[in-house]
Amino acid sequence: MYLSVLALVFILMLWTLFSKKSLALKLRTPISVLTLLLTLRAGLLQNGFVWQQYDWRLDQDILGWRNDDVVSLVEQHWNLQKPSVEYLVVGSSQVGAIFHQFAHDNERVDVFNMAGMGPLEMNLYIEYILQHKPKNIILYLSEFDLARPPNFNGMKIAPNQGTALFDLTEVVSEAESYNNATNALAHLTMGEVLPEYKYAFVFKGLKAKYFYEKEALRKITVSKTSNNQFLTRQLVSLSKLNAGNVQYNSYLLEKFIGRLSEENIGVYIVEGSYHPEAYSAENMLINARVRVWVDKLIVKQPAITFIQRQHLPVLVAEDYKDGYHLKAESGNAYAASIFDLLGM
Amino acid sequence: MLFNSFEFLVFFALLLPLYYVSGKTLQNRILLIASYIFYGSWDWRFLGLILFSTVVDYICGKAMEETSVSTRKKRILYISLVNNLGLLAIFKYFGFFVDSFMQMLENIGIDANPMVLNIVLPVGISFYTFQTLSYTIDIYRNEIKAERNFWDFALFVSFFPQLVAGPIERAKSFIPQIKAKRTISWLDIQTGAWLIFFGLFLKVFVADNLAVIVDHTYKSDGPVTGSEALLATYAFAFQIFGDFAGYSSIAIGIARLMGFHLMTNFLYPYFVTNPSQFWRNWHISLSSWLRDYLYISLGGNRGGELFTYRNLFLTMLLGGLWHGAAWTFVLWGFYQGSILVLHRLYRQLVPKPQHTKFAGNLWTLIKIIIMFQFTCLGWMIFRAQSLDQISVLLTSIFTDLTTWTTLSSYYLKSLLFYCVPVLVISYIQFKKQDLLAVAKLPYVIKIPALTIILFCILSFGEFNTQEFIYFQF
Repeated sequence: MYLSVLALVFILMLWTLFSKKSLALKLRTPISVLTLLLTLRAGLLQNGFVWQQYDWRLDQDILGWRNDDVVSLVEQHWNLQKPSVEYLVVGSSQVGAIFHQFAHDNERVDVFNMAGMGPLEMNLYIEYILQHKPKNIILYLSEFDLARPPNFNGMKIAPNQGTALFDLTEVVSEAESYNNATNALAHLTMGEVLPEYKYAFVFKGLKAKYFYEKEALRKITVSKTSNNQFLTRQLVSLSKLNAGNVQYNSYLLEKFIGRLSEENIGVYIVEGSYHPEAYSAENMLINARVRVWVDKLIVKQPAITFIQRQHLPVLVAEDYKDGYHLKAESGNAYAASIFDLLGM
Repeated sequence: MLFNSFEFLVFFALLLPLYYVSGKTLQNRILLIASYIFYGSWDWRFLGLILFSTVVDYICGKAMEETSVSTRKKRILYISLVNNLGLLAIFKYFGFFVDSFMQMLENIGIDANPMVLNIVLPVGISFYTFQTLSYTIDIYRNEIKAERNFWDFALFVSFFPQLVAGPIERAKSFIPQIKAKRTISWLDIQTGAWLIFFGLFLKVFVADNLAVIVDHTYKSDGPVTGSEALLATYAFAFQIFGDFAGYSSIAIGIARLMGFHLMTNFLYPYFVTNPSQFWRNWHISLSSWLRDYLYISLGGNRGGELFTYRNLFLTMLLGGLWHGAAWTFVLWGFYQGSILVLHRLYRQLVPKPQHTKFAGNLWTLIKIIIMFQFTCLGWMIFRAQSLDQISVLLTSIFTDLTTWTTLSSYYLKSLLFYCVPVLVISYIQFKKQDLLAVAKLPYVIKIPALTIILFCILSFGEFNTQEFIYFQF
């Protein structure tokens, strides 16, 4: 597809170069610049090899968690190893912490995770998710995911949406209580035609890596916080979950699950956990609200399997490496118990 | 509504087709409404102020033309001056003078109750008050006729591309353009597009990226080495150029797309060899305004050398204060006045040397480098948060220049990365004496050059809508 566009523009450029018509003369410079830009784009963004290089050379220390995960997902999109998978676990970095090792040891399972991935991202990355050709999708979700505000700022770096962009206008119009949604859609639309703009963070990251000393960058950015401070900060953020976000996130999730059903993909919802010290009375109220929503969803779509938290092993503070993520061994054991319940 | 924001993109995308399909009178009315929407997007309360200024100067202009009595004419001019300068004094300088007065009382041991007045500085007030002042002064000097059509005059005051940060237009060149039928040629569109494109490059690629370095040093309370201070000051020289010349270029480009020719505001100002040349190439619309309405009104160079020096000093001092209500700007104006006077003295005392072509070129290069250092010293004064900071930074440059840190290395690499392309483009413009020189390069050079510029804008540009520096003036 991309190469055919490039070929078309190239032919147009040749016309502007050899035609004597005044329109050709007027368009010569813009068409030539466009041709060269598209050629540059083919080399820098439109192939799997360069994304492999970016993924290899850039890390979260330079890019930040979300951007680094996006580079990995784009790389995966270009160089997908497994042609199809029985179970694809989709979710935030919580999912990565629990299921990565398990998926590594198990052919039938794969993981699609991204830092801070919530229902909005599930819709934005749906084509990438479907590219894995999963038979079943496991969503590891809790009030932690549903009561957080959707991260519209991350829309800019989402994959190209194509015609789904029109659907997103509806998604944005539903988000009337979030004032940055329209602006985010504008950035996404601009990134759609100008991927150099969308993936600017990659080029800035490369510059940061090869141009600047890491020490200099550290001097400029904030100093590293201790593990304890980090945990405290995460617990504070967990105590600020907002029930007001559940409605919009549920709408997004229903939209996502609806698309999965259209593709005949089985859906499992596993009720997620987080650090035991953050289970406050307020969060339990939100949890109750989430469960009501899941019950209603199951009435609409009976094929969904819901695994509640109490049916899974109890997790204690020692299982967590921070407020959100399990330690590797605990995660692996937890993943195994989830798949036991699924009868795998 | 910043030029580099989505809001402006949508605003202009809606305006331009509407403008193109309309006739001249309707075009002017559309532009006037668009200009008020543009200005009101910052704060709708500012609209009252610009309307007030417009009405007063419109009436003054007409009244001055209708009277033949010179004392009455003068009195009307004073009304316009008091009105415009009064608005500036209240909104821009009142807080500064009150604070300075309180500080002075405190220094001599008088405990005064600080008077707190939170006056918001209306965006662009310094620009449009100077523009309307030039209108009434020109009528007073019988250089132009008063504008009879209020709506056309209102458009002259509020024309949105140059409303908030210039160029400061003159009535004698701009009002005739409002009155004339507009023909927009392909050349206008090409030129306008190039100016917008280049301005965007200067703003989002050069200025906003260098802001990181500059802010890190100039907003820091911690120790700064000489090399860091020097490199951050060089970075500021390019930041302010990118920011302001970028804004002007976009403004001129937008106006050109609508068939208006605004005055050139910057001409490769870092390729000059002396301060007086610098002021002929930097913020030309302001420096020529100061020359025509202040320096010449003070007597210019008609009263002997000492008189000329005094006039130069006063002009630059007030020019410094125009930039902002702070002692650093006063000092900056004083510094600019001093180097102008010193250069004038130098020219009189040292005869022009005779050189071979090579030696002549080498000497020019040396003079450009020396002048750039003087310019940067000025920028340090301009950018500093306080007078104390100037002394701290200067001390570190003169006592600690050889300490090279990882931060210095980062600064240097960033400077080269962001400034070399600008220097190359400016050099081409300077050599060809043409701001559009890059767009006129041979095809095989032009296309890669434009593509690289476009790639830099998209991939390295900062689109987090950092405000233009000159908006605060």
